[in-house]
Amino acid sequence: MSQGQRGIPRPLSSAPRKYYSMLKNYLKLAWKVLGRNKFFTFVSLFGISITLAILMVVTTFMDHILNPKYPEVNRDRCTIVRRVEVSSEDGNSMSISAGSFYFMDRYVRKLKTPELIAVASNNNAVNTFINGKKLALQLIHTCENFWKVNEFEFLEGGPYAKQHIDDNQFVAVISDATRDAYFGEDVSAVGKWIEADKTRYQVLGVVKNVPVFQNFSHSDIYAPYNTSKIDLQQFGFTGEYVAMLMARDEADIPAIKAEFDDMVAGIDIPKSEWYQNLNTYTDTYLGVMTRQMFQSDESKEGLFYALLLGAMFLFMLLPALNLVNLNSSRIMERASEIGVRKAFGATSSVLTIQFIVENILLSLLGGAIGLVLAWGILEIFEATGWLRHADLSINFKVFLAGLVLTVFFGFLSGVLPAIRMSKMQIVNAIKGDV
Amino acid sequence: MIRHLFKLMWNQKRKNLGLLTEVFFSFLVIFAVFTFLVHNLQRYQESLGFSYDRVWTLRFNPNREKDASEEDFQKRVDGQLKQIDQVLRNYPEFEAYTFASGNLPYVGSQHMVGMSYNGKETNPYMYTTDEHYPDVMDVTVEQGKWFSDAEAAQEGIIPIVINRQFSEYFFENENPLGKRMVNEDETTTHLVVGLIDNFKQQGEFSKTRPVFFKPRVNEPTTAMLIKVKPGTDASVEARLFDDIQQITKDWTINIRYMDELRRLVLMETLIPSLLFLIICGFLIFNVALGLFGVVWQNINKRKQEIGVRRAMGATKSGIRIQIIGETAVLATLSLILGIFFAVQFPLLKVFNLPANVYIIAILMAIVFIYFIVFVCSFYPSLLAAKLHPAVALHEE
Repeated sequence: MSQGQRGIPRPLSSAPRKYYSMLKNYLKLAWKVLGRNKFFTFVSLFGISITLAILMVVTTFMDHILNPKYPEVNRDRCTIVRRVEVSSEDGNSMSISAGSFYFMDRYVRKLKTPELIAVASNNNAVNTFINGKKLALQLIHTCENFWKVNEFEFLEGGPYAKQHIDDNQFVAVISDATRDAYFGEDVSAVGKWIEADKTRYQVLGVVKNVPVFQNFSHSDIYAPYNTSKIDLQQFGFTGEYVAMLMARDEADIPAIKAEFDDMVAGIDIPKSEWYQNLNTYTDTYLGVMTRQMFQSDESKEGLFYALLLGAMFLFMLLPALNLVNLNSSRIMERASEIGVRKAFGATSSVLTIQFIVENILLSLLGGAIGLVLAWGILEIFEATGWLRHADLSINFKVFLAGLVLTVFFGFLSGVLPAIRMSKMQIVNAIKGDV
Repeated sequence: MIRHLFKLMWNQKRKNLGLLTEVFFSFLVIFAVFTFLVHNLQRYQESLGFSYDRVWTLRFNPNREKDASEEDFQKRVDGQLKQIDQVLRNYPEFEAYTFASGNLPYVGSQHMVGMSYNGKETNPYMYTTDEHYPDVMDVTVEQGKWFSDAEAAQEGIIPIVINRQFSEYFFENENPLGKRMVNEDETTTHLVVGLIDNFKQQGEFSKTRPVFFKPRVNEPTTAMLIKVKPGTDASVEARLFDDIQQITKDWTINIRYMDELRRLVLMETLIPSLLFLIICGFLIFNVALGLFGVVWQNINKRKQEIGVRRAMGATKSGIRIQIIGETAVLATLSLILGIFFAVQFPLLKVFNLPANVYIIAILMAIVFIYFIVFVCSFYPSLLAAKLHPAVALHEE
């Protein structure tokens, strides 16, 4: 294309102009076709928009479950230790749970490859009573690195440090919702005392609520591990602690796994214990999830994504088939148009492309409606409060995925009828006999 | 007539391939939905075996800390539990309470143990509790009686109460009372003293399983169940919490209402089910709309044919029956293929569901498909029947 001067209208060179006018024609035609039979248009748009809305809702959930989000933003370069299994020699007795503090402290925290290592307990349900009302809260015990591996947003105050733990101070960080429920809405909480499970903690900081999807960081109260009621030095491997190992960058993850495996292999179990085998691993977030999902010894991320895509494809299949059938029977309406165009020399491929473009346009319109519907569905989900603190926004990535899905759907449902249409005999087409 | 319709459809098989596939997939979706519904409904209808109303669950974790040995630990905890028992006696708000193992109803935790009788073996759920359990949980003993604490304290025999599934597995039609059994973890003989009906620990939608109850004798335990009088509120709960904490100091204690736990467990089943049903409902509705559109469009295409039929003497109702019949024949072709696949589920015992669930689901899905087909072709068939022969033939 030639460089024209600004402000002076210049003609487009012939090739783009041709495509431009072609596209404009297609658009006009597609619009006319939409208006011709309102019922068919409604059925098509209904199917497309709801299908895509459901797919976008699923994609949004997957995005929130799998991708790094507040506060676990470093998830991509973290591996998790969350499952420790001890078993007897004959395999008849077995105990599976998270790791003990002893194991995390003596072995996991001594690893050299990770940049930072954070340990945290599973969520404990604790009760607290204010003014005769019960407040059921979740509490986790963490180490000081927990606040570095996860990037929390502090609304006031700050996290606890190693010094607090060394001095055995009873301090805590609480969530926004806990502050509102315990101290009153937007009342400053720093420095005040909160009582949970008959233990008093001085509030050091208040963090923004963490969505329930953030498996290892969502809670209502965070307290340093020195305040835990269990005996932390107790020997044993299974317990209630998980660890997050943060690598300097993603490339270090295999090295961390290797060091971890070496460390586990080097542990001697005293003869006096009932178990002889210790089995544990560290893996990425998705790795841990897929290992548990498929009860496998290695991460199955590929299988997971394949199944997810397969399920989405299967779900699209029925609406797409439906659209194929509708489109196929609608060709009749346009038989004479096709006949005339063929008679005037339009090739099969031009007609096929035209029809697919029309169908993709229809899908895009449906996709736009679907996007609005998906947004509405997610708003309803948030309003029900089933998922605590879930902030289910559709982000740009999900929108892009939706767009790709839409175009794919349009193509899927348009290609078969288009081929059939383009193969029509001119004479039959003009007669309307198809 | 039907042969004629089949022939008509068969001649158009290429054109109808799309519809055939669509009805086939719809059948599979509807089959899945009905299997799911029938299965859950059947489970829901089996009685729960206990009452969750006005029951508080109290779970605690006696942390092992300063105790030198296992015996010291057990002795300390047993002493503390006895103190709790003393304190709870003075609560007028409580109807009854019982100490129980941590595998409470509507709590995920399970405890299985190997039991054997006459060479038969299985792993029923085991609950350890005391004589107050039936009062708290409103469990009805159908035969025999619940064990008493005095009996439980006797050496040499452990009285147990079993449920119907347990009895059916081990004793079939024999009277279970007085039967002696072996527990693979213990040396003492177990003696069956009572029989109860179902006991579905995981709630309404869970499977009925063999379970048995055995008495707790002085060993530490991790839970209590309390039946409270109507109108008991959180202030009593706070007092209870304080009283127990006074005795136990370093235990972690968690009080929950059982109807609340039940609600959570039911939600876990109901929410995904509801989403599944909404999605499938949408798919089916979508298909129905599409089918309607296609049949309608076909009528427009076949005006001449219908005109000829009318001119040759076909009645209005004849045309109507033909249009509905054609669609039904089409559906039948898809159904034959669909049923072939669906029947594999009971034959290959996929998902281990009882065969009758699948069979009921297949029958219901067939009826449902025909219903959809009828609804979708009814209006187009009316339109077709209304066509005036002269007008229809004039199209040419």
